[in-house]
Amino acid sequence: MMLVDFVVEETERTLLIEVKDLGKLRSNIISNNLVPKCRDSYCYLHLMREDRKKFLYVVLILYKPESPLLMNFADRLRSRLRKETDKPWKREYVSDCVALTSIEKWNTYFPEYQATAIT
Amino acid sequence: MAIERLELTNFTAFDYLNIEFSPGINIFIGKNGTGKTMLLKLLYSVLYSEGQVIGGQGPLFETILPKKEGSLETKLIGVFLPHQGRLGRLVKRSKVSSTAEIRIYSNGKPLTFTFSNHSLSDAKVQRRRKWTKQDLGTPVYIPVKEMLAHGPGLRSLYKSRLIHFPEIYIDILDLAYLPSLRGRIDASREKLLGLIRRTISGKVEREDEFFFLRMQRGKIEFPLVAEGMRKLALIWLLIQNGTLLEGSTLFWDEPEANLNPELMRTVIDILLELQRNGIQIFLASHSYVVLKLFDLLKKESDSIAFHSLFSKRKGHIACNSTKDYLRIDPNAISDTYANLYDEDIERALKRSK
Repeated sequence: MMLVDFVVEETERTLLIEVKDLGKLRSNIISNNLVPKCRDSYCYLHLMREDRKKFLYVVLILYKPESPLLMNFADRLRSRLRKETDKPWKREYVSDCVALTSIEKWNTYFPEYQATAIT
Repeated sequence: MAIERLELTNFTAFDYLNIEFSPGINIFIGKNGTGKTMLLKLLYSVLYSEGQVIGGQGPLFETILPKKEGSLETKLIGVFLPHQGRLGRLVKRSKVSSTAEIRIYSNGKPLTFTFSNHSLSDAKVQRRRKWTKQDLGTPVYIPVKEMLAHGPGLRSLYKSRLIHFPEIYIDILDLAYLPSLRGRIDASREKLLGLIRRTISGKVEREDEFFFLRMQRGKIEFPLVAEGMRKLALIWLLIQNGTLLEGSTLFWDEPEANLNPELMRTVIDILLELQRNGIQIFLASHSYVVLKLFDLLKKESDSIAFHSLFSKRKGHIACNSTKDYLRIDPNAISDTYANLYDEDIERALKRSK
């Protein structure tokens, strides 16, 4: 199984968090890595009866593409999470996904989990 | 020739503006109403009318326009269409009467025009210092709307009747209808023509005033050809008939209009190649794809400048120029996407709760 780096269970939702730094970026990262990790993590949690809350998939990519490209990246990831074969999944297993590109952005949107980069 | 600098005072939306141009490609960006098209039209009108007075180089002046026929007044009025043909309406509006001054530098030499809105009578353009023939090549203005499909009858109608139609639309038809240039086509032009032929899957033919796209399956009349393809066909004609040659100046308002982003790569390739052949280019664009393609496809030796027009304070438009794509500031196009990106994250976070 390919699994995400962190699972954070909150009161209302579960965060599936995947962190990627620039050195680990590969082509087709969406299809070959990010989507399988999210899907397998969901399957694992589902089989363990841990899927009662909504899931939010958060990808933290420590790389700074321009906003239009990032918008497109988030949309492609979202679309691939919903449809991997010729037919879309019947179940939308994650409520949505976000792609964040810096520790600062992470700290803005998830202030309760302050992050620091360790080099 | 290359336009090196433009200095404006009290012209249309501008109080004062001073822009240094690249001898290669110049791209104006900015929100609607910041005067991008105004600048393209102004530079075009000046090159066109000066070429008429002096007798510039290239097929426009050598074949189409008789020398000393035109003037900047008539060209500005024909291109901008101010109400009742009053040139003074192009002076920046203020409570008191004022004077517009336009100074353009080519080959280090300034050319200055002034006109005012002092009276209701026709304003006169005062011209100081003339350029020489060597300072002027053929100016070409490609408007947002493709015109080849509307060519038949329009030119003759415009010449015989007073119709309220900007001259840029007629001028581009005049150039498109020029016959092919005699002699061998050099390698760089052939390369461009080949690239366009492959993209539009055919070549352009003309019968009387009607254009056709000759493809393997037969010839298709232009009104049935996609507008994006017709734009490329126009470029093909202008290269083939020698209009876009070294020393000429190309103005293209929103090259992205009616073109699928995939086709934009060909257009940017063509523009870069034209620039490498000594053609100075001025574009106005709202497209992220256009900007990004220039950033990705340009070579070290290419000369590109981005000019960002923006409203600095109420009624005052300023311009920041840079050669570095990442230093465009403000970047109205990218900022819009950045805001969309932030909104996208906010929505995703809301959905998960």
